[in-house]
Amino acid sequence: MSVIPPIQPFKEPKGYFEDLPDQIMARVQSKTDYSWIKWAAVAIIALSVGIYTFLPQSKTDEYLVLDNQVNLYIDANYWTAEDILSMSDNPDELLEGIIEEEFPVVDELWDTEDQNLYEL
Amino acid sequence: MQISDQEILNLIQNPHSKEMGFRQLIQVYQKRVYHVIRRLVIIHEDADDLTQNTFIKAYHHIHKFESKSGLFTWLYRIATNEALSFLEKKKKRYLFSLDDHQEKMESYLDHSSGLNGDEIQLKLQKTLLKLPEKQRLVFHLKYQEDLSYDEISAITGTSVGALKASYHHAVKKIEEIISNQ
Repeated sequence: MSVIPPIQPFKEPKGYFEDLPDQIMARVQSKTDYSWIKWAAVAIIALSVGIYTFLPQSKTDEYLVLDNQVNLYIDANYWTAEDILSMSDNPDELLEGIIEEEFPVVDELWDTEDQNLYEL
Repeated sequence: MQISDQEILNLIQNPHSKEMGFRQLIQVYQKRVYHVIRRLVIIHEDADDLTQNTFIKAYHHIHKFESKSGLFTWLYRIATNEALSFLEKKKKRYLFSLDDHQEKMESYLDHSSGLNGDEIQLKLQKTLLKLPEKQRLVFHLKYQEDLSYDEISAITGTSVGALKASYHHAVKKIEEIISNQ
């Protein structure tokens, strides 16, 4: 016979389940089709990349020297990842970007062609 | 008398009654979905977000439901995927020493009024937190919800053999920790 005692369920806040259906339906109904915005964003980004690539660079020698110094510190392990994040204005945003790039999140399962998750 | 899965699906498939049908779906399954998520993520606010996300995704993907399994299995599959993805994301943030989510969950348990100051329950919940997330999920589905291995297999996409091994291992680990305390 197991020595594990019965596990009590967690208590939810009072009235939580009375309000939940309305909250969910409100969110479902407020979702509009933003696909045109996605395409507009892609167009803007493509245009910006194009302008950046073909316009003459205005970076000064000072910034170039600074960039090289930063790279030297990173390559020599003088600065760690934590150092770099702590020096940035938005470490959380930077971190989210790195994580998304290096560790793609399983989130994408639901809006891809994944046959397994929704087809039961 | 509770509405059946087929009645819910019939309502949802009709554009005039889709909203009503979906509300019925939420009414029938919200508690179970919430609790399976809450057992994994511990913190109510996180469980609330993930529960809502689960039903929103269900709303947008209900047309893919093929009735091979029940609505319960289908919803649980989405819910557990949401919870495990959430925990995985939190764990990766910890690699950069920005956020120890495990510690946050343990601290939440320490300060939670939901356990009514029950020391045994607190120790038990903290013991469960020591298990890897997927093993914890299997333990909860088997021990607390008393689902069959076939049902758990349909929810998790894991073989029955692997589930049995995982559950047996989880029970031994928990018993060991409890006995040593």
